[in-house]
Amino acid sequence: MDLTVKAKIFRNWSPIRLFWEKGQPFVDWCYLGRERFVQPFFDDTISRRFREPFNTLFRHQTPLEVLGKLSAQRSAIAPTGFIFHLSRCGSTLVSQMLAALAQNIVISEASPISKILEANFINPQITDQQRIIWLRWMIEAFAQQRNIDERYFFVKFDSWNTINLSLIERAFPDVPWIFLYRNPLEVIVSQMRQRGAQMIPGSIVHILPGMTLTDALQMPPEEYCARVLARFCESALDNCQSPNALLVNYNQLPDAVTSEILEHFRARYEAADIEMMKRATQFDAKTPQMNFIPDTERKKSEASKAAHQAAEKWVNPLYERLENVRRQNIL
Amino acid sequence: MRKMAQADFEQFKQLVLQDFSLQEQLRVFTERGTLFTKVIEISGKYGFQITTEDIEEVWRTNSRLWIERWI
Repeated sequence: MDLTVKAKIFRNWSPIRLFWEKGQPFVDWCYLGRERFVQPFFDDTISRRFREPFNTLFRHQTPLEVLGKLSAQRSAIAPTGFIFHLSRCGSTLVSQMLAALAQNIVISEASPISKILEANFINPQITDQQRIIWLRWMIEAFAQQRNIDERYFFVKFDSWNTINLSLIERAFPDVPWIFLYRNPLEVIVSQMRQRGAQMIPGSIVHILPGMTLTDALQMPPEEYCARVLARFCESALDNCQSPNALLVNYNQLPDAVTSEILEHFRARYEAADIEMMKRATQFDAKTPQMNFIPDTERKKSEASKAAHQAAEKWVNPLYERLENVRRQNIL
Repeated sequence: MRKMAQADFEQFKQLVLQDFSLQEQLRVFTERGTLFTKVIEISGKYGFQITTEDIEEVWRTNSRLWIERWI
């Protein structure tokens, strides 16, 4: 296949989907123009683009290697910071605060990134080194400046990408990152109310290594959820001594965003910009048309006995370890 | 015959994706029926034979692929 690539053809286009054909990875693209990623999730912004009929009908579809060719030809904004999280713990609030500023490109839970991290489960011959190279290409494709003000670039990963933290650090050894987490009982209550994909057995391959689908399906959902959260916490703990790492508890939000987190990311803004970020906290991050209402007490009061037991057995000890590390680092 | 028309759409698509001016002409349509009509008109000028049914099939396929992105 001829992979001669003219970079200008892809200017203002973005990868939107990674797919496999005959064992090879391909990328689906969409024309973004100047549209910024201001919606809570990557997919929301792309879905908005499909309101323009042209974008449904005319899409580049290229081998993944084209990203490598483009990488060699064009510059990108170096990643400013990465956001990892436990899920349901304020990570969307953080990304929405960052997205409030025109200086920031914020990619939030983009499926092409997850697909690359899971590529070794599609084809076991794909090495870590290959995934690292692909991940760099994909992230670089998202970090293209499409608006004159853009100078910082943030990626909020899917919660389950936390289990790939070591590999992501190898791919980006100089990029500061945060791991955001919350009292596990509150996360479990939220997940039981409406489960994310990562909490549905079988939907994310190998999220719990060694566990069969049958076992996962027979398990109480609270326990499955708690064991997945435990996996994320373990990975964060394994990597939290990195100089790139900062642990952040939900109860530090939103103030930590405009203080510790921005400082950790080495991102500098004017006072007016900080005020604009703070204004973004007044709204519910996932449904910006609604005001944000803290719900810690409500979640605790809703917790079932099974949720309490699962949190206690599987996640609370890890949560306490995270808290100990965080407190030590503050001192 | 249908296959040939689909190949025609694919070739026309590649032409559009390489040509900013054609893209500009087609992006202005906010209603898909109008876009389809324009695609048939412009592609005809380049000698392609594309029908509304062919375009609708591409539309359905691309919409489905986006919905199935997590699979």
